[in-house]
Parts: sequence; C-alpha cells; structure tokens
Amino acid sequence: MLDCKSATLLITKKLDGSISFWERIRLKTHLWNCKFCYNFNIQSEKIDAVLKVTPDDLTHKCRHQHHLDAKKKQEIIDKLTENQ
Amino acid sequence: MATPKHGIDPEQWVQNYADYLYNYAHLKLPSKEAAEDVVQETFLSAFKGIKNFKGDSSEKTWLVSILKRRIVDYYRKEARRHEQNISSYQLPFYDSGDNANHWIEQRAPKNWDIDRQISYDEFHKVLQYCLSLLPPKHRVVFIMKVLDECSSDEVCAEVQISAANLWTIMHRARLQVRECVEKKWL
Repeated sequence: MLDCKSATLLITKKLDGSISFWERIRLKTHLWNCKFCYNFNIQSEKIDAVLKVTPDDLTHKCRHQHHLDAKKKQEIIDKLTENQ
Repeated sequence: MATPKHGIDPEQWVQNYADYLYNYAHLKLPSKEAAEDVVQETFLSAFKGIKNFKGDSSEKTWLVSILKRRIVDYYRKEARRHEQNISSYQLPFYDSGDNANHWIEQRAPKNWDIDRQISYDEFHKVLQYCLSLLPPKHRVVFIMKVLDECSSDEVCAEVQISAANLWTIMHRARLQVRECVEKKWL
C-alpha cells in the first residue's frame, strides 16, 4: 500500500515528469482512499495551472492587461537600433 | 533611416510584441522591474540571434521561447547571489511510529473552494510570495521544471544535482508551496 509521503512524490513526478502505468494505478487507488492526498492532487494541479498561465489564457477573463512603459519601449528600440 | 538588419524593424517588433512579452513575464516574475528587464534582454537576445530563427514557428512563439530562457536566467542569477540553500522546511508527515509517512493532520490539505472564481492577480501574488520562501537554488529548479523549458537532464546538469535529488527538491517545493498558499489564501 502506498503511504502519503510516497503518494505525494508520485503526484509531483506525474506533474513534472512522468510515471509508469502501474504507478498511475497505485496512485489512483490511494487517491480514492485518502481525502488529504486527493486534495493535494487537485490543489497541486491548480497551482500548476496558475504557474503555467499565459496572457492568452487570461484575455477572455477581462483581466487588466499590462502595458510596457512607453519610455521603456523606446529604450529598447534605441538599443536595438544601436546594434544594427 | 538605416536599412534594418535582416528586414527587422525594431520599432515594429517592439510595438507588436512588447506588451505581450511584458504581460507574460509579469506572470512569472516577482516584480514589474524584473519583467521590464527580462523583456529588454529578450529583444536584445532575439535580435542578436536572428539568424537562428528559421521561421518554423511564428515570430511570437520564438520570442516567447527566448523570454522563458531569460526568465530562468533571472532566477539563476538570483540563486548565484545567495549562499543560503538549505531548506528548513519540515515535511508535513510523521517521521516514525504507526503513522509514519502519513499526513500530520493540522498540516494536511484542507478543502479549497476550488470552483469559486479565482482572481489571478490575487492568486499570483500569493504564489509569488510562497515561491520567495523557497531556497533560491530550489526555486530555480522548480521554475525550470514548471516553465517546461528544461528536461530533467538539463536541470540536473545546470544545477549539478542527481536525478533523485531533483525529485526530492521538487517534492519538497510542491509540498511547501501548497502549504504556504493554503495558509495565506484560505
């Protein structure tokens, strides 16, 4: 039987790498029986989703879009022009 | 006006992509200033490396891939500046006894009302704070894996750790970040 420390390690590997078919089965079984690890799994996925979010994911949520300072933009244009 | 190198007009490039890149960087970095610097470095790198752009992806996709590498560099630089890389975080599991490797109840994941509308800005702030609690070297590893820019082998080579060590770090980081987010947010 998988213990919780091992289960959370498998969840980590699942998110950031990969786990084998059998590891997946063992993990699923543990998650059915353990409320805490079940929560850990969905919460980790949520955190992951937020860490990986891109501006494209957010445009439809009417999130305030940041604009790069006009001055900063000009600075960049100048630097690029210098390097031509 | 001088003939643009390789047909790139700097002003066009910046007008077309700067805001998008800035928004992207802002989502991955702790401050406005860090995001500005990284965007600037991205344009400069891209410009210098324009020969490497084979047109097999869009310009935007290509710029984003450079941006991600510059974001990782930001965290790498930070890790190099700090000596303190020992984690004082205690794992939330019992060490020994009948309950060995099971959750310590007070620290176990509670129910989050996960379907409630999450303000990304709120969550992002909390996440950035929680990331700042990780030892710098662990934070680089975490960012490298999460931004999906680096394979496990690359991460290991860069930070000079073994594969087993990589997973230990990622495991601790995920536990620590989750616990911190729960404390701050609920």
